[in-house]
Amino acid sequence: MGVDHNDQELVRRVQSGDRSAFDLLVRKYQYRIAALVRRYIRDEAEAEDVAQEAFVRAWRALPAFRGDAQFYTWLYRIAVNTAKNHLVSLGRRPATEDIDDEEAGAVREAEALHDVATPEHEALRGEMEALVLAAVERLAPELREALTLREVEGLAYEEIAERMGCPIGTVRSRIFRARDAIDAQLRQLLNP
Amino acid sequence: MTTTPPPDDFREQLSAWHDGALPDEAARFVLKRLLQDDALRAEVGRWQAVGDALRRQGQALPCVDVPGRVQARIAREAAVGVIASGPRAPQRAAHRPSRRGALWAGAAAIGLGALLLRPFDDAAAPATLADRPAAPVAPAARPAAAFVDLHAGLPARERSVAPRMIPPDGATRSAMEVPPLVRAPQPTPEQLAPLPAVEAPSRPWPRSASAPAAFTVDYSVHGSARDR
Repeated sequence: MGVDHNDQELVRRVQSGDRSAFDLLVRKYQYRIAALVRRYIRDEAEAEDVAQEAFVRAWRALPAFRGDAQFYTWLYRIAVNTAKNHLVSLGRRPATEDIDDEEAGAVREAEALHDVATPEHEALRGEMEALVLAAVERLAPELREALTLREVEGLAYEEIAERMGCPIGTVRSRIFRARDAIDAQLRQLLNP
Repeated sequence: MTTTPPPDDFREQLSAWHDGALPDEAARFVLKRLLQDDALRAEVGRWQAVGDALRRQGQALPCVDVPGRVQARIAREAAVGVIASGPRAPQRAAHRPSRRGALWAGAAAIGLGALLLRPFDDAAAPATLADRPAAPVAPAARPAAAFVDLHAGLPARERSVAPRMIPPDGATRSAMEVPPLVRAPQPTPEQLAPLPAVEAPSRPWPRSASAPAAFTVDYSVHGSARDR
């Protein structure tokens, strides 16, 4: 995964005091952080509190974030440590080693490859995935292809245009329309 | 702040921005508007969720409004001074040494001294990397308002769970409390008694033998400076 320049810019803005930029980072990563914390804490309400605490800690620590790691990798580490500390504070589990950036990166890759997936994790992930995949299935083929090439294969707009044999403007429009159609359904689930 | 729904052409630009496919100038324009519009930020958050789901990266649906709760918590803590004025404050202090900086340094020194005089407490040490304060705030320098109940006015559910986040003997509480200085060892009466007089001559800094005599002062008891 390449450097996320949007995150870099958002972090820079947060460091100059912009809370809206931090709000956007929270909105981007809340679902992944929620899933991550639930791997450690089964109680839903408790896990949400810990996820919230992780974001607050990230806000406090952001002045010291120098961008050596990707923002999400750094946030991942904070969330794992917050969850572990929470368990230790309740005497539920002995303290374990902190994770460093390298380990966080490795865990993220493993996470993407399903190596660390547990049945509970699969079930939690399934809810969101099922909804998104069902919505993607209902898309027009050209919208589905453009979105998949972008999100799954990570191609740039120019590469997608070449692959699909259409102008870049069309690619841009197709990806937006695909997102908009999926979002119409996702919005109801996420903001009932 | 939420404005009127933006037209689709702007949202299409926003989608391109999300993919990092906008030129710098257009990206700045989009970001400026995005940061002023709650609904747009929420939409970008859902787009991210869609991409994560397609990549089969773990996700879970929170039952509560996490971004809203995080923002409320940050605002509350900033209001009572726990996070100072946000992430900006430490940067300003680092780049612009000022009188305020000197006061902070003094307060930090007092706080450090107080901590060193306190018996070691495992619970007071940050347990993990994430606990290490990245934006250090000296305990002694925290404003009195920091001790205000942060959970006042919260719904019952938040009140009931909040104490779990800050254990009574945990690092947070230890950092908030300033150890009393009266724990420092007090001098004994013998130590306070005046020292006996000692007959010791003062020793001026050795001067060069070639120094002009007019500027040489003799402090010696048993002879002149040149005898030494």
